[in-house]
Amino acid sequence: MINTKNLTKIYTTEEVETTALNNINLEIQQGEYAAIMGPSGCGKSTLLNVLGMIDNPTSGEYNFLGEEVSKYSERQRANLRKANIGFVFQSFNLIDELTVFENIELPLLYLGYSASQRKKRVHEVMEQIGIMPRKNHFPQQISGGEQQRVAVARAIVAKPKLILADEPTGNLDSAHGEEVMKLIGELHEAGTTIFMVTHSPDYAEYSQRIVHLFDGHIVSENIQKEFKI
Amino acid sequence: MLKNYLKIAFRNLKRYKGYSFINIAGLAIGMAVCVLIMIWAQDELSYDQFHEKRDRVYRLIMDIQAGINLHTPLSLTPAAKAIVRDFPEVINAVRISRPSRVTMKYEDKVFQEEMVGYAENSIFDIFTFPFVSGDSKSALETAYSIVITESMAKKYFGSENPLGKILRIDNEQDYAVTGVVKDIPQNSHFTFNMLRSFETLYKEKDVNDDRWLDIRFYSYLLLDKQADAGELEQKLPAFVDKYMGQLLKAIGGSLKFFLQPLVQIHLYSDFEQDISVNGDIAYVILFSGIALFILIIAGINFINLSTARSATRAKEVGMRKTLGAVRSRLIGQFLGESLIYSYLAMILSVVLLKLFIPLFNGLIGRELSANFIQAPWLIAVFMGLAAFIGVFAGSYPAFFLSSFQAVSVLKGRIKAGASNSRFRRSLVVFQFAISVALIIGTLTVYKQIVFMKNRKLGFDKEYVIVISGMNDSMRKSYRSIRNELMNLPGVVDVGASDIVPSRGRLVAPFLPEGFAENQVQTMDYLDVDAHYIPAMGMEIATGRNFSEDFGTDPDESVIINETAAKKFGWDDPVGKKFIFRTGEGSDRKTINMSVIGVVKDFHMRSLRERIEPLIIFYDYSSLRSFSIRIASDNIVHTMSLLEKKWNEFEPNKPFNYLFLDDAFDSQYRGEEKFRNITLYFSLLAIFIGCLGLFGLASFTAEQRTKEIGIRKVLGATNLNIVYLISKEYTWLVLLANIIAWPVAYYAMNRWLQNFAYRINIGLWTFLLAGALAFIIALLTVSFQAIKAALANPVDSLRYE
Repeated sequence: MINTKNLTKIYTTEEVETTALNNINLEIQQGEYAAIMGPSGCGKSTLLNVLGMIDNPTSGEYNFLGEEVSKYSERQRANLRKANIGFVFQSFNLIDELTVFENIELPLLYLGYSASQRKKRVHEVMEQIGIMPRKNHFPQQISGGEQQRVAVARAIVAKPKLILADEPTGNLDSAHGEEVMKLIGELHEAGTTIFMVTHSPDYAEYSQRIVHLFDGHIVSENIQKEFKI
Repeated sequence: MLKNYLKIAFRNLKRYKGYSFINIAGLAIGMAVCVLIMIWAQDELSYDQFHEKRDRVYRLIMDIQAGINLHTPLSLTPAAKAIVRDFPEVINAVRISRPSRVTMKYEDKVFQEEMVGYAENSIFDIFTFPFVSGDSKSALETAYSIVITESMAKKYFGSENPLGKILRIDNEQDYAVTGVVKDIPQNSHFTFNMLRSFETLYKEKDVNDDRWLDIRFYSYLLLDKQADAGELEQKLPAFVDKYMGQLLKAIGGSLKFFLQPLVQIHLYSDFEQDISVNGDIAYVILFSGIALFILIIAGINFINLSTARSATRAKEVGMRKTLGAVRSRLIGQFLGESLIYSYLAMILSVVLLKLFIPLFNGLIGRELSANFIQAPWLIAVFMGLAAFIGVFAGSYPAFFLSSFQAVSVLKGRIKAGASNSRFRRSLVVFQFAISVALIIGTLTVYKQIVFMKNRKLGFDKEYVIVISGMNDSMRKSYRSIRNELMNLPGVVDVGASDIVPSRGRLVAPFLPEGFAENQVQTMDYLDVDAHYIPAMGMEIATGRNFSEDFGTDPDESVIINETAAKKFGWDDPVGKKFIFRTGEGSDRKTINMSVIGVVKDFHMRSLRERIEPLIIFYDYSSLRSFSIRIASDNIVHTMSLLEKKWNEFEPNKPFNYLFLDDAFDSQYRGEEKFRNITLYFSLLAIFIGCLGLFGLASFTAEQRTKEIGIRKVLGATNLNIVYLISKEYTWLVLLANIIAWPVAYYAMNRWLQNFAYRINIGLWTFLLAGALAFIIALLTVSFQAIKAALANPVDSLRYE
């Protein structure tokens, strides 16, 4: 599903060049559940953003679902992204002015679903995630765990093939964190490819493979479980 | 999707009430002012458009050069008729007098009636004044006939048939009503309540078609459909030569006719003696420009607040992009939002417009209305304006907000509002530059008006009552009437003249000693009695005043002003002569009149006009107005005594008077209107600008809450904090001054060129305007700064 060759990302400020990603060669199979670990600033989030096509690599190749996307325009990437990738962020990134229902509905709007299709699908997802009672609340009115569940619901509502999660539990206490990790596990069980950044070795245990990143390099990969393709 | 956008827009609106208020209120005021000025400009541009033949009607105007230059909308009396006779392309012509005030009597009803003129019957062929009753073909054909307007008919005759009724004018002449026309529309460059037949003037031997040098009437020509006004104008010099060649040669003058298109008269005339007060295209352009600037200021608020608050929307943009929104959709979303704001503002502006209109009407003395049923184009204007402002003000924020990179936003790399603060600052500078320029304008106009009202005029205009309407019998017994008036307690002095300062001007050619026959000098002239000059407080510079003791004074003596003496190069004017030729053929005589005195220069006309050479005659037969100087106390009592006395002399005419100072100052009503309008405009501009500044300052304070907290923890005083927040915006206002000053200086200097006697725009005007803007801006900003400074630092640190 994902295949990168010498993927490099360099941030340039006036005086300093920072190499965030340095010749990353990574392959992720359809249906895989991979986690990236590494200290702060090692490039985890950058990798996730590049893989999620919300950031461009400086050099190298990135093959997504058989398409070479590293030179794609914003419009092409947006189209590819909205159909195939769901995002979950540490800080949830829900839109404050929209209710739970409306937040989850948003990706479907951009995919051009009809109102009735949207309603049906959003209800399914809310049912699945268990946030139905919160449907008309605004993000500020619900707990952090619930907010993250809404974010997960939003990520999966369009049935993406890949979910990119950037420390999805980072802002949550352990009970809520556990809940969200379970949810992601279930999504994986259902066949979605997951690629997750985490700090926590415990949560990394949920995955099949852990990629260790240090100063922009992949330093090791350990496979935890058998692939289920 | 649209629903989603609308929701976001309205929820933002509700959540940020302050910002929304600033945006919507500012835009609403801007739009209301804009539409108001549009209504006014439309009205100004609509003048005389109701005449069906407007494109073929021209006014015959002329330039005369004979000693002085006279650029006048009046024509030589016989010219119009002769032009119709000589040029086949001119189908018709009409001569109209300037309407004046008369005493109108019908049975027991007596009124002073304004706007009563003379016109030839062709007025109804050339202009479109629909008849209610009577025959437009013949109504003014015969002498002593009169056409009146509908409301006049109602006033005098109620429901009776007005045709054939007899109106007595000035208790001297009877006129038969031969027609009733609809009331003259407001947007006509001349108006009348009643028109007497021109034929009457022939009967009264007041008009003679052989007397060419008679300049009293306005002449309008109706051209043939195929005729070309430019070509006709080319042929007019030959026409002048044919009828006036010898005369002009004799006096060494020249005369040139021009054709002024009817529809241009209102906005493109700049004549002293026009038939009524005209508009000015320069004001139309100026006010439209200012209104547009006010709208732009409001638009800038919108742009600034939207971009300043971009951080709050950044997350949404990032998320939408992550979810697959392309930029064009986001641009659409934000444009849509600004359109919502501008349409909400539009609704408010309709309300504001309804409030502004009566105020504005009071300022400009007209009756404009914003009636959407009568003027459906207004709806289109409002809708269009809202769309324009929505797109204009919305497009920058839309492009700016939609340009955020998803990854930067989500990584928290967008620092709230920092990225484009330079742009925002320059817009604030622009806003305040406009405001400062408007303040300077207002101050300058104000100063000029004060200057004109306070300037020594060469006579004392205070406590002078002018009573016009002296008739022949009063002229004959003038001396005894004067004595009776002088005996009234409270009356200090009494004089009489034909015209009074600020009311009218008399000009004629004269031949002073030492000039050749063909070097006549056109001069202002004035007829007075022996008491007028001292009664008015005018001073004799050299020589003496007219005296009742010198029986020959009326026939042999004249007084000139200093300007005349200077112009003729007379170092010792007393004893110099003016030469008059009268009579024809064998009766032709030469009369000399000697200068017996020089009066110090005084202003007969407004300070717009230069003092011209003046010659004063001692002539009882021309007197028309009493000028009565009264004591400054007990004015009411003195007035009642005067009224009683007047009614003894003239029981048939109401006692009608004016205070000379009021009359003189009323010449500056145009300037006062201009001052008031610029004053209100600058207030509005500053108000909207401050709204925006307030919004930006509160935004800055909010954004720097944490910084302020840290600074306070580290020992900053409240004053330090206030300074920190305030300085960011107040120096922008200083910068705005630097831009505004030269622009305002240039513009106001040009405006002042309208006045022969004018102020210098002193530096203090600029300093005052700058200081005002600075203080207002400082107050606006420091309110927020103080609020931020007084906050408990722990709260602000906990804030994030």
